[in-house]
Amino acid sequence: MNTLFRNHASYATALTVAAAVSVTLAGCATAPVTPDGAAEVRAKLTRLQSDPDLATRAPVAREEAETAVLAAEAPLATDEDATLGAHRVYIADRKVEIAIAQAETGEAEERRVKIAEERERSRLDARTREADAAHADAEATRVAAAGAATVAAVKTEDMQRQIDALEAKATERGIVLTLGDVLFTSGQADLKAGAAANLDRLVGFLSQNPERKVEIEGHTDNVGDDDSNQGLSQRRADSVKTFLVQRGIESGRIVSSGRGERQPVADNQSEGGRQQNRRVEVIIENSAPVVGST
Amino acid sequence: MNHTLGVGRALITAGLAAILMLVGACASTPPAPESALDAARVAISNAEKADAGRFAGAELGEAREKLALADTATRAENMVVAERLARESQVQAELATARTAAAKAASVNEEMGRGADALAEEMQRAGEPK
Repeated sequence: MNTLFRNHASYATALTVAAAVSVTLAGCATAPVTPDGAAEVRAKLTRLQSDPDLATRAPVAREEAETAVLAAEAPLATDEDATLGAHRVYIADRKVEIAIAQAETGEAEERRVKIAEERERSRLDARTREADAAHADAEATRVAAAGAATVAAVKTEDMQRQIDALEAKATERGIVLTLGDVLFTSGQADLKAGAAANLDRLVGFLSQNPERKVEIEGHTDNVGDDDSNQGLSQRRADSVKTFLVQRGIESGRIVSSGRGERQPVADNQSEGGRQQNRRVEVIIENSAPVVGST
Repeated sequence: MNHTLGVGRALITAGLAAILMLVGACASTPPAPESALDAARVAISNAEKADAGRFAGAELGEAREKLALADTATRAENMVVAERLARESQVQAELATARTAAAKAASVNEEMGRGADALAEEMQRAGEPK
């Protein structure tokens, strides 16, 4: 019985302890809590802070949002006004939204600068293209002009080379080309076959310079009588004229004459001199009369 | 008799106490949250000037609603609630302004982007060989 009572007493003690513990637990359960919605607002702020496009913008608004979220997260004792938590969450939520909106505005404004730059660039590109096109046109014109000049220069150079090839020399009367008697069969007016190559260069020159008139003069040495020399020189000159006309040179441009033995260019005493005197001179007249010379 | 007197005295005391409590209640009525209400009105006015009615109408509407509730609470002398509502109205109006600015910036960009695209296209055409 005594034992039972004692047991009873210890049971009561246990109950008391249990009650105390449960009261403590209950106290814990009703201890200060974070208001509803605070976690969501924190999550929203975290999203803003980790958005690479927005995280660094609107620092003042972000700071205010951070403060407001911290206030919203502050635990409230149960006996505190239940609406205070909701109020703090509301303020924090709007502060976060303001920070987001301001960051977006900043981002948009920065992008606008890029858009403007891009627009300026495309405008510039277009101008550059236009300028390039104009430049290219100018360049083409210049090249064409230069080309024409080059052609002219080449032509002049070419002419000189042709004259050189004809073994001609420029004189007051014009370009004088001397065809040696080796081009003719001895004592005859016929041109040798080999003369053609030489005379073809003359034909080419005359074709390219259609404004120039040509005088062809036949000359002989003093061997033989004057009349036959005169006749031979005339026939040789005619022979050259015929050749040129056959090659397409207008006959009206060509005057041929026989000068006989009257105009030697070398001494008739030597064979070398006489060979030099046996010749046909082709005088290509200067296209424009030389001022001061008559 | 004595007993009756005692009850009457007690009643008088209770009545006096009640009157005192009422007077005390009047004396301890908190002042209206004027600064918070003013701040809300200024914020709403700023939002209206920023054309929030067009770009953030819902936010502006809610800010006005909160301000009206704050005024009602002030008239009901529920000053704690009035001040909270006023602050909520203010922050909501500020949000309306911020969203208006964001919307405007976005729409300007869109317009410019279209312009830039059109320009680029035109230039491209103009640059093509004729």
